[in-house]
Amino acid sequence: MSHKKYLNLRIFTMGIGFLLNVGFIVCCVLAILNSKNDALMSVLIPIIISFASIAAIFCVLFGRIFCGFLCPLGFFQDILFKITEKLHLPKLNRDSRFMRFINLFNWVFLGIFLVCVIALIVLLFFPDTLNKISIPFFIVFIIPVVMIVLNSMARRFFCNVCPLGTFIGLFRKISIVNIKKKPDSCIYCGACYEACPMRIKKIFIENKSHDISSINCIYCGECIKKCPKDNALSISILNKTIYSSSKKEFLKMQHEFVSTSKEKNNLNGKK
Amino acid sequence: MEKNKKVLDPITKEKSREDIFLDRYLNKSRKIASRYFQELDSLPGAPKEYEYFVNILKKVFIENQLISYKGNEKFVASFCTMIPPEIIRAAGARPIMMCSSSYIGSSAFTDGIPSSFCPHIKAISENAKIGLNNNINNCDMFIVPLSCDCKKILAEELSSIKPTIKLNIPFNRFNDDGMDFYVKELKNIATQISNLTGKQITRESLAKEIKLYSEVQKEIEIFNELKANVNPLIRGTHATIVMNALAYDDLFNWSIHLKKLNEQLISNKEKEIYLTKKKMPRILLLGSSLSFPNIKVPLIIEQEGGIIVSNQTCLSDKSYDNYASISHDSLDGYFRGLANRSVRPCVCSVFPNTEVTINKTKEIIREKQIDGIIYLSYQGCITSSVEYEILTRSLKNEDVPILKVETDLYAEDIELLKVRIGAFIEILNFKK
Repeated sequence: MSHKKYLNLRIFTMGIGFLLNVGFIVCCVLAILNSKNDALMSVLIPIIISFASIAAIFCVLFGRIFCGFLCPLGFFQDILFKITEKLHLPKLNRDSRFMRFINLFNWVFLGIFLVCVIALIVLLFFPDTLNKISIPFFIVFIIPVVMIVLNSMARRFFCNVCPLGTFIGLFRKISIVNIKKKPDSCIYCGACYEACPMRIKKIFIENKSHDISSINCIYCGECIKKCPKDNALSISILNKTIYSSSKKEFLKMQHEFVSTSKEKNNLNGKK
Repeated sequence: MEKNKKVLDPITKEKSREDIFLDRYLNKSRKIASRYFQELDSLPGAPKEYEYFVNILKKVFIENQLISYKGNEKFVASFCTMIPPEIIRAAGARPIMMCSSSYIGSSAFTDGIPSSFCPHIKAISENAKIGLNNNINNCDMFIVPLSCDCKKILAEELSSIKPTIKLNIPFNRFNDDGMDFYVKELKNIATQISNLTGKQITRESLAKEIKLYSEVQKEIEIFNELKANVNPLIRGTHATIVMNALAYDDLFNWSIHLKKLNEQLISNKEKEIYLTKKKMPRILLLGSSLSFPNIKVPLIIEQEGGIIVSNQTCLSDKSYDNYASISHDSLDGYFRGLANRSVRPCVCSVFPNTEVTINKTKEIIREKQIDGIIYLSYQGCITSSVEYEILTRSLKNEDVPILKVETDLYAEDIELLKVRIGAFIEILNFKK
């Protein structure tokens, strides 16, 4: 699979994921608001349960491919980042010490998330408790604003602390999608590490094992896109490679990137 | 041309003692260079387009001229491939690589540097002190990476002559802090060159230079593939000269001529015009820097019947192998990409992560069907001899013999080298 195809596939599935998620959220909101309407609930509850169970099975089977391919929040972040990149804003520097700090937060957020999920289930069955809890309303607005600001400085910043993603990432050992590295063909240029939105250092420094799947990997394929060596990095489903790095593709992409500059001082054309 | 006169003209009408010495040195170095040019001419099978590259070296070493000098350009001499030339070019200056291997400089009486020191460092610093080469005299700034102990001394010696930037190198390449520090260092270099030229470095100018450089790299890669053709199309010594000319020439002019040379070689390949149809042992040349006057080792290898299919010394293939992979479209992103490109995959013996060198060597052996490796090392270079030991240990399973050639910057050991390399190539022939 080429870079273009992989990217198009991601955009396509993200569009579908966006629609599905909107539908799911609408169902949930309707269910919470109209919990007294029995006729509507008898339709909505099975939809919600079947949808959630399908999503759960998908996440266990495919791991965090959900984040790279279906997550609507990820889609939103990608679009946001594309806009900020077009404006050539400087990037937030995330070194390994910063990432260790962020990963600590990750687990805290996971705990909060699990509490919230339990609360949601409680709400679904006992909607009256909603009136008793008073959530400060401004929090709902603060989170997106902070996310937008941070995400304009670093690609997919929210994914670094996303509790749902961390939770799905726990199942990476039994997932059928893997990201692999051939240490023999690696030249340790660090391009993958530089490109990775999740700043996974393992891709870059691993020199023995073939398996580099990590709890943070969202299968966005950026590392493979930027890798200049043939088959050094690859994504495989059930040990069948679907997308791997290639020098030819890299050079093509390099040309595309540099062709954005207006000067036509290349070797093929005249000066 | 004005600067050229300034050096040669004596201050008084009479020739001073220093000028007499300078003339003597110049004549000597011309003699050595012309001797090697003769040897190159006697080596058969040079393609027609190759003439341009020899002429550049002739201009530098015999006529002592500046190459394609536009009158107001600032020259910045860098002494290592770890300094990305894109930055120097984007800031409006001309980069030249001054890894000199002048025999005169190396053997001249030195004040500060002990005799057991790296011969290259002696050669460069003496060259700069005596004012032997106009290309060095014309430089406005030196950038010396503090990569090995000898380079530290070099930086100290050169800073008394011209403004010198001492560039720190992050030796632990897997460490993020080191890399961030290196990006800062490169930005510092960019501002210093900008102060020199008065031209600010912008995102557009750097993008343009990265584009040009990566196109040149693509052309070099085609050239390297042609060089490693199953039936030889060009000799490795001639290819070394081609790559050496880039150190002095303007990047754009050089790449146009390389493109022509590639076209000629490709047409030769299609018409099946080879140097010879005889099977020759395919040699991989590894090790320290190899620059023009001191091309005795590749010359001897090819005179004795081998062919160099890959030359992984400094100023040759290894400096241009890696492309800058840009992951963020901003000035900072460009600097990060360049910093990554120039240090992390760099095959130099000063770095502690040897798997980079080992992996690359194994890959070349696999891809280019290498029969034997000749490891070039200089007296006083400890890191390269350590690298040789590590390579021999890790290449045990590859069934490729390695010969270590330790030499210095003089012509006295040519006969000795001929015996050693000749015997090595004979054994390789016998094995085939």
